[in-house]
Amino acid sequence: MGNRTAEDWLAPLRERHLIPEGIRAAFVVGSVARGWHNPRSDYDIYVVSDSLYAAETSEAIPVPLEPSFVTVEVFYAQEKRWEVKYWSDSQIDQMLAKVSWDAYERGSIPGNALASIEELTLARLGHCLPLIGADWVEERRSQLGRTAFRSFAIARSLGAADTYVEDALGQMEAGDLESAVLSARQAFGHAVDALLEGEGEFGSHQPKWRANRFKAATPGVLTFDEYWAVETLQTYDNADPLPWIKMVLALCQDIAMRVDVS
Amino acid sequence: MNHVVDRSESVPRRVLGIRIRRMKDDFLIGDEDRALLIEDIAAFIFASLDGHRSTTKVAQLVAQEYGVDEGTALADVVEFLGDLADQGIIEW
Repeated sequence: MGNRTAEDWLAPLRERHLIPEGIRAAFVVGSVARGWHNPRSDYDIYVVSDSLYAAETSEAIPVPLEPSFVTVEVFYAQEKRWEVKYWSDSQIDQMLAKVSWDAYERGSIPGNALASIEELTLARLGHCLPLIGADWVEERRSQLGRTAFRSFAIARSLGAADTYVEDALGQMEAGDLESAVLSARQAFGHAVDALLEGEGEFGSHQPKWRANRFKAATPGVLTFDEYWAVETLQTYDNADPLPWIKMVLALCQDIAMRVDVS
Repeated sequence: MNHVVDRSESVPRRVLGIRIRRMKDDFLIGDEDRALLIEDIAAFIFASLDGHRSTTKVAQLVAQEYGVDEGTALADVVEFLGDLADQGIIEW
């Protein structure tokens, strides 16, 4: 992030006494950490400590973990909105345990393994910018790589794609082509998410970044231009939607053929 | 044998809506509780169905990959694809 040092990032937090005791790590996440930010982007920072930080000013967000919430502090500085989210070290352990190979092989339902906030948090470990505790971040990345997180994410996305394909087929059979077009678009989005997750590009709960994630992953199955042509309906013919719908559904299947879920 | 000749120039396609999961080089086809596992040479054949290749062309790929003669490969491919067609997994 330009010439900004870790201390430059941490100074506004220190001034506001937002660095807790027992801190294990602090890291920048989101668009800034990926280099995808724009002049209106917020600054998002995660802080992990032994005990969950909570102050009177903290907002609590429920999570299916113990403790059953994470806390958030929001402030404005340097003409930016800063959002600092606090996790306990134990909560990170619990999320990693939810996506263990044991859990995967027991048949845990992929879409239910993690709440969106949990999946996004684990996904963000892969591309964060450590400010404190670089070793902690590296160890957690390594642990994540030994879990079935990738397989869970792929299976979830392919399952969602299958559901929309089924919807599109039914809508086509009923002659409801407008709905079928929308379902095909949804199916394609999830199929591409699976493809990107197969390449280690997670974060499919934020489809606004799909094009950027695609460019970062450069999957061999589709070129960016091929992907973008479908995403932006370049060959869609409103007078005859059926060929486009069938092409997209076949493409979803081609992607499923190529993405290894194991 | 006539069945083999009949299908040789047909283009087999995977039926849209069939659930497919790839595991390394193998495929699980259909719903998990009654999924069909396609392995080894069958997986190679299934992966070769791109909606453009004829059955003969698929058999040629099999012959090259596994070192068998094209006639034998064609007969085996037609038989395998016939089974898949009976199960609604591919169509001609």
